Parts: sequence; structure tokens; C-alpha cells
Amino acid sequence: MNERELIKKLRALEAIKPDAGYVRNSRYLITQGGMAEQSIRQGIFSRGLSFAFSVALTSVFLIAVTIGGMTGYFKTLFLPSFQGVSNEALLTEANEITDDINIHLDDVEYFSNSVALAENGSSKQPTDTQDKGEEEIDNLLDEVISY
Amino acid sequence: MLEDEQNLIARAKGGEAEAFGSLYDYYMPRIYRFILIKVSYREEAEDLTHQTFLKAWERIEQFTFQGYPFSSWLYRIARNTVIDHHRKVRPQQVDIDYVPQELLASESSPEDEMESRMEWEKLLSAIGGLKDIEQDVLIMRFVDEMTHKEIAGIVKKSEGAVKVVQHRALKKLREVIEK
Repeated sequence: MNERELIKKLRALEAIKPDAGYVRNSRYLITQGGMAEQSIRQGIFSRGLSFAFSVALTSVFLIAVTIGGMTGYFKTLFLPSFQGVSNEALLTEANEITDDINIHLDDVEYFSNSVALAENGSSKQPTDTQDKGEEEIDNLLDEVISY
Repeated sequence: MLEDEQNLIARAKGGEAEAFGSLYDYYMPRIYRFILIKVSYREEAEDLTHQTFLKAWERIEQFTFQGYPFSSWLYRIARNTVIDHHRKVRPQQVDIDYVPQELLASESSPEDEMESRMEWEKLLSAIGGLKDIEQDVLIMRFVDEMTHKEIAGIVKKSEGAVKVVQHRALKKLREVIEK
């Protein structure tokens, strides 16, 4: 292909034309869409603003709920309180239980001492009998020696 | 150049959308063609052409007449839009199915159409392989039939430099096609 043929071929590219429907739409969007585009931009801005406001409001609400929930949870965990039960009554009951426990402990101590005394008493009896037997044996041996 | 172009530009600068619409009607097919040859795909070309005119409408107040027609300013915006696009999306190899249908209109039999498609695919691929400046000069000079002076104003080079670029681009194109 020489240069002249090539240039002729390039000139034939002039036949390229845009689609009529595309031209109509594009022209309309550019010439008539200016105001519409501005409105769209304003709409996008106001929508963005209202979205930001919604997000901020929801965040504040969630933070409030979270703080409230955590406070309630820790209060229940560390300071249990039940409706219809007074703290004074609970304290009195707890003191009574403590007294009962002390009484039972005293009883246990008394019985322990008694058992110890009984054991001591029973352990001394065989010793006295043993001493008497030995004395009798000594007397009998003395009698035998005297003969 | 469009008749009464200065008046239309002044009215468009004043915010008159219909005046800009007239400029759009006149220049849009040329800008679209310029972009399509550079990107090869119709959907991309449509999107980039739309972006080009949208930018032009948004920046019409910045346009000042400096001895070049309004089209020079539009071509500059189109060039930059395509360059920006190619920074994000790498240029793709031309697909034979994407050869513009209007180039095949005169072909009769399916065999002739296929042969024609292959020739166009080869030429468009070869153009796609050139540097941006080489593509621009060839399209503006031979497809849009612009003068060297007009092209020099758009690509911001001297007329002599444009002629050199044109010569080199044609040589490269022939070499690629003849391979």
C-alpha cells in the first residue's frame, strides 16, 4: 500500500458517524441537564447531610443504650438487690444464722471436751488395777522370802 | 467554521443552553469520530465524547478567541479526555467485530464484508499503535481535513513540527500495514 492509497483509506474514516439516539440523549443531558444536574448535586448534598445526621443520632442512641446496659449489668453483678426484700431484714436474718452457727460450734466444743475427759477417765482405771496387782505380788513375794 | 460562531459562543457564555446546543450539533460528529478512531470502541467513544462536551459546557466561560476556531478548543479537551482515560484504562486491541458498520456499508457479499473488516481492523490497530501525537495529527489532517496551522494550534507545536510528525506517522503506518 503506497502513501496515496493509505491517505485515501484514512479519508474514508470520515464515514464514521455517531448513533442518532445517542446524539439526542447526550445533547439533551448536556443542554437540559445542567439544572437537573445541579439539583441532583444539591439532592445528593442534602441526602448526605440527613444521612450524617441519622448516623450521628443513631450513634448517640446506641452509646446511651450501651452505657445504660453496662451500668445495669455491673450494678446487678456487684450489688444484688431484689424487689420486696429489705436490707435490714436480710441483715437480721444473716445475724441469726451467724448466732446459730456459733451455738452449734459451742456445742461441738462441749462434746469434744466431754469425750476427752471420758477417754482420760477410762484410761486411768487399768493403771490402778495394775498397781494393786503388783502390790499383792510384792506382798506375796515378801511372804515367800520370809519363809 | 460554523456561521455566526462568535455570536453562538457569546450566547453560550451567557448561559444560553440552546446556543451551546447549536455548537454541539455542528462539532459533535467530528469530535466523536476523532475519539472513536483513537479508542476503537463505540461505547467508550460515546462516553468520552459526552464527557468532552460536558466539560466544554461547564468551562465555556474560560474560552477566549485567540485566532483559532472554537473546534481547536474542543479538540484540546477531547485529546486530554482520551489521555486521562488511557491513564486509567489501557488501550485495547481492536476487535474485528468492533469495526464501525458505516465503513462496511458498500460491501455486498459476506466474504467481501469479512475481507473489508480485516483490512479496517488492521488499519485501526496500526493507528492505535502510534503515539498520541501521531494519531492526532493523522486524524486531524486526513480525516477531519484540517490545515497544518489549525493542527499546530491544537497540539501546541509549530507547523513545521506538525509536518514532521505527519511524515513519520504515515511512514510508521505503512510499515505496520505492510508487515
